Amino acid sequence: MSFFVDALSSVDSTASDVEPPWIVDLRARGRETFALLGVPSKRHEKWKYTSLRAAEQVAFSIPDATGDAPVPDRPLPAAGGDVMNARLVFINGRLCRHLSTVTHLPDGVRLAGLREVLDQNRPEVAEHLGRIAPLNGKAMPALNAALFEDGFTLFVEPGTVVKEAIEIVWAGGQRDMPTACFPRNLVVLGTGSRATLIERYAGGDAGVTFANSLTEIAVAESGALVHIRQQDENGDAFHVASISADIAQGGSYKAFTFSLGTHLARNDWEIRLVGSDSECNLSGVYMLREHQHCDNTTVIRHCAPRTRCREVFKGVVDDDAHAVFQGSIVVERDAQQADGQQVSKAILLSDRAEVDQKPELEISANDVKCSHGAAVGQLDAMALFYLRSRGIPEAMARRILVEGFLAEAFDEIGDAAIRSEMTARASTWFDERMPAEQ
Amino acid sequence: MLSVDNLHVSVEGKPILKGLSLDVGPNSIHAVMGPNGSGKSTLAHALAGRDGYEVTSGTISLGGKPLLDMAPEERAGEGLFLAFQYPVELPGVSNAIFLRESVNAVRRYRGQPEIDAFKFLALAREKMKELGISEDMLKRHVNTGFSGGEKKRNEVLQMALLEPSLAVLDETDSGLDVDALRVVSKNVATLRGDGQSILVITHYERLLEYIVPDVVHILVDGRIVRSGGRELAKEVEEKGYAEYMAQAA
Repeated sequence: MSFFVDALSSVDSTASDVEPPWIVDLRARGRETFALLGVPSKRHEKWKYTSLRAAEQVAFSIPDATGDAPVPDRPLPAAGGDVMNARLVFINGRLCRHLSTVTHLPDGVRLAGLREVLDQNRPEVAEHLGRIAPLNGKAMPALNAALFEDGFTLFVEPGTVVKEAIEIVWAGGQRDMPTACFPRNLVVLGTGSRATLIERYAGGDAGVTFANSLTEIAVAESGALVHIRQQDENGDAFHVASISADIAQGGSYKAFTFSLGTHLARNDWEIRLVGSDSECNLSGVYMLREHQHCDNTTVIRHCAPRTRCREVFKGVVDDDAHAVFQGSIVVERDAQQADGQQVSKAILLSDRAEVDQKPELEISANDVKCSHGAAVGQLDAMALFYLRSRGIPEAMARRILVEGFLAEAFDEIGDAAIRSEMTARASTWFDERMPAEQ
Repeated sequence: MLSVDNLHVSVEGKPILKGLSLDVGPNSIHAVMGPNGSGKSTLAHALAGRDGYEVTSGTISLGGKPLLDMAPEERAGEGLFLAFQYPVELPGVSNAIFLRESVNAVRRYRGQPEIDAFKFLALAREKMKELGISEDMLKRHVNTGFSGGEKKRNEVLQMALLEPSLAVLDETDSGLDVDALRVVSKNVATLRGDGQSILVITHYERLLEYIVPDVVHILVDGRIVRSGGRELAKEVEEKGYAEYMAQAA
């Protein structure tokens, strides 16, 4: 039995007649594509190291879209900093209006739930939704297209600068059965606009959950988006996220993904630097333990001259956990003078922990500067001895070294307040896993 | 102070130190000189308790306490300090945090109250001024991208902050030009605390022109073959180690 197939057939029989034709068409294409490809498995090259079989066998149910959204089953994460940010809160994948605040936004910014904007039939949604993330060959985005219910949309008008970070909180609500959701998100930044988006995946307290999200991002000429994702769901959560972004000329997309929670996380990024002189920084940290599995699969496509990308992924893997990094940098024929740098390193804290890395460069232009480096190892014995010879007890010495190791990736977060919030969260992981006093 | 008796140490199953004995009293400077492969660095690392340096027999004690069953951090707490020949680079680890953690770890071990960040900074600044070290060295990552001279001065700074009763300087002159060597060794001399002893481990005599030893030991093939006053160092400088090596063989 497969939950995915069941979910699709149940939708088939209750096909919506209230949605606009282009959505009905998008869903139909999603269903067809998924039927063709099937559930991702080792047969698919990009899914060699990550299996969704455990999720498939759970009898998930998708919460009913009507009626009141349930209340969150644990306190929501605190807003970062002193300033009250605009935030949307989703419970089990559905927008919860009374927990959300959109009053702190400057003119020229529209932050709303996808369901709301679809009901309003806004033309800009039809213009972008499904365009940035084409479905060809991609099973999980196809499944999302068939089943998406709600999500967030952010439109920033040309020239508008949003100073405070916009927060999206994904929380769990009380339900007595395993819950699945298919969030669909859209971010469109106008020419010369700037915004910072923080997504916090907080999850719920109990129960198995499955989220298959798809986020489409368009950054217009000279626009700049900072996008932080923090995955901190409980250890029973499955989280498959696909993020597609198109960056126009002179535009910039800086993303950071921080994975601590979930039983299984798969982050699938496809970033296209379509305009000349556009740039992307895609970095992240993962901290895994027990039987956690985290897979960051990235494709950065240089389609135009003088495009730049930088990737710094670092992780620490304990117990029986398994980390995967598959990073491709593709430089197309016209992307002369492209610059692509990729670093991916992991430290194993147990002999049962596992890391698979697959860096790839695919270069069709002849004047480019590209490099990648991948490494997996234990803590350096000489460094450990050096710290201990200075009186620092072994447990503390190990922690200092791991924190130092991760710092190189955290330093990719430009905003000091966000960076210190993330490193503070990392500290609590260390307090639990590597207590300095033993 | 330091007492090493009939020490045998093997590395990867190979005997390197073969019955080394050495006594360093309080407030004195001893030098151990020897050719390459004589066991100089093995002595330094065995004293500090590095993994893989297997003591097959013999004893080491510091201030009357046996060290061999102690972890490296406990030996540091007891007052042993090893200045590394090749100070280790720790990318991502701030020098200020490293130094403060280390000072407070040693203070905790010694039953002294920890010092807060503010007091630590004042203390570090004072020592750095004496050493002529620029304060931005605190903000940098430990030894990362440091020049040879900066690395060695950072070692001396640690020595000054940790107040050991015995400092072991392992080939402190390696990687330094003459000017840097002069500065570093002058720092060692001025920052040496009351009653503090120093064990200088070196191949060349030149370091001993700045850190003047009371006693010089010649180490050949894992044993001390001769001990004497500082004139012994001059003798080695002129004649080399050949004579001692011939005796040992």
